[in-house]
Amino acid sequence: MNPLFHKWRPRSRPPGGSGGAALTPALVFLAATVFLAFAAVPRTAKVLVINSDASVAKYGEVQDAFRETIGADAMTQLDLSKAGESGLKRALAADQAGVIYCIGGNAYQMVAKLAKGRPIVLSTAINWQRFKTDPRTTRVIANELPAVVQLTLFRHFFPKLQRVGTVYNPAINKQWFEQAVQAGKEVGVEVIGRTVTRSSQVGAALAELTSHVDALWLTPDPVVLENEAAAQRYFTQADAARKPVFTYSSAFTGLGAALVLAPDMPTIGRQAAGLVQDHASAQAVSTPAGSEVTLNLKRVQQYGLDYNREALDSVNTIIR
Amino acid sequence: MPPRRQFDRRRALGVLAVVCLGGPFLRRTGAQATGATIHFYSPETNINNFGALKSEFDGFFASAGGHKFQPYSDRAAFEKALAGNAGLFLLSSWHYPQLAAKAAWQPRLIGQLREKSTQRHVLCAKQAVANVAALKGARVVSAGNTAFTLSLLADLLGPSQRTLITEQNILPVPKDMDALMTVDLGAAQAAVTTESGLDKLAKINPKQHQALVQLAKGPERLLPIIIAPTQPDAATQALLKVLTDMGRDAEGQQRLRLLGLDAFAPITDAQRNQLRK
Repeated sequence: MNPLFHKWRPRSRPPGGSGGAALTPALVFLAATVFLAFAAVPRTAKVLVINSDASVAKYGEVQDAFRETIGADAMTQLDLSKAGESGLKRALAADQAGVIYCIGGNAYQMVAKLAKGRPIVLSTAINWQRFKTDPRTTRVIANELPAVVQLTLFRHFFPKLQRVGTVYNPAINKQWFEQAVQAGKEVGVEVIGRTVTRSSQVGAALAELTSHVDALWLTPDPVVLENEAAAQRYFTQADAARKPVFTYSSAFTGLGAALVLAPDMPTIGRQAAGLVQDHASAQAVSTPAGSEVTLNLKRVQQYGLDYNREALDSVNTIIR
Repeated sequence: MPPRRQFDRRRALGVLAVVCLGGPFLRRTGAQATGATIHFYSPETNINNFGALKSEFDGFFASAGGHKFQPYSDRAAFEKALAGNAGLFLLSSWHYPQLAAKAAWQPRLIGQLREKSTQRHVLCAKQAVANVAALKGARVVSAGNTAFTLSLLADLLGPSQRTLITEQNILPVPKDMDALMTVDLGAAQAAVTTESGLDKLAKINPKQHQALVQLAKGPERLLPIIIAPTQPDAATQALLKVLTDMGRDAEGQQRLRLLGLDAFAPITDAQRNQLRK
């Protein structure tokens, strides 16, 4: 929400609401003029796009889709990895009006520090909750597909799926797990969890879990995925138990993930363009509206899994 | 004379060696050289599966005539390829009547899904949305591109209300499931999807389906079609035959599923007439 717009609006209505009739037509005209002036700011001014690092492919995809939607003339852009803090300061000073669109967490952290109170849209930031964004000024597109979306797509691809297991650290993901259990009930999938507080406990948790579930659900839990070796061990253990792994990043396809559901980057760019236009009225946090699907048919066939062939029209990438 | 006979014998042996050893190779390269290309562009989906389409179809065609599949993300590039006047073109039945050069191209095959060659689109919103008028200025998600979605909305909303939703209100998403779930999660107020997409959601997630209300249902529209030059060459005719038979082959059908189809069938005169409208 534009802070100026936000502050002005309550003042137009006197406390109790009984004094509205006392406003003279001239005052109404003046108020309307001021309202329109503030409301017009984000639409007419150029959007300042701060990309954390334009050489990162997914950031580039987001920015391209944003530019295609909003038009190249309606934006100025800055690659923070090249311009640095001094370049950002100059860009902010040269562009006092309009919304700032931050692609990636680095861009947001620096913009939040240097442009306090300015209207911001943030996307493509891992674990964005750690930034404690201000809902009065900032609109966020989350970087994770909601549990209900993932579970619905699990069922879409694997209609016979009944139980999916996940290992998580309750200090970080307790709330997420509870939501996942509820979402699982919507689609007829039982979500079974095992908690760990240290990475060294993951192996035992998986060993216990695999006999109770049809598939494993690997989420971005920093304890479970402490490092690359931990990820490697996770997939080796899942493969030994012949349990498919469903996960959130195509980085795991090389390790043998059977199904990857990730946010669709061009859709995030298009969503961001919409949030720039509707900044004042938009909700503080939006979920990614599109998904990108990778299906590992090699692994699916290796485990003899039944999959829904009609769902193939939802697949971006097939691994054979 | 003896030397000549010797030469002939040597030449005959050489020809025999080529036929025996190199023949299969020559046949293979010959087939590849004469294979035709099917070009594909669709405004009905935003899913970036071009890499998968290319590798899966080319892989299937490798043992069926060496034909090629060429997908396009850009409409102008696709239409430019039409000027080459060769090969086959797979495109939306909405797109075909808009082609400037359509007189030189004949609709030959039409996509099938569960033995039907048509589909309907629907406009859905959250239960709280009482009617279409309440959608003025609302964010509408669709698996089609903006131009296609606006065309669908013109049918869905009718002449009096078609201006309720403008280009700025459309949010293209990769597929129907994304569109429908986005409405339930609050990132959009309404979705334009196929009726079959809505049916899929009803089966998988009845709660999300029940949270939606169907505000309008569009007319039956033809599924994507394949067009060919008026006088196709032998390779193009061979590719048409391969495509006609693909739905009867498990491996072929698996590739067609990537396009949201399960077969191609010869187009009927009635369907051709429909395309002229």
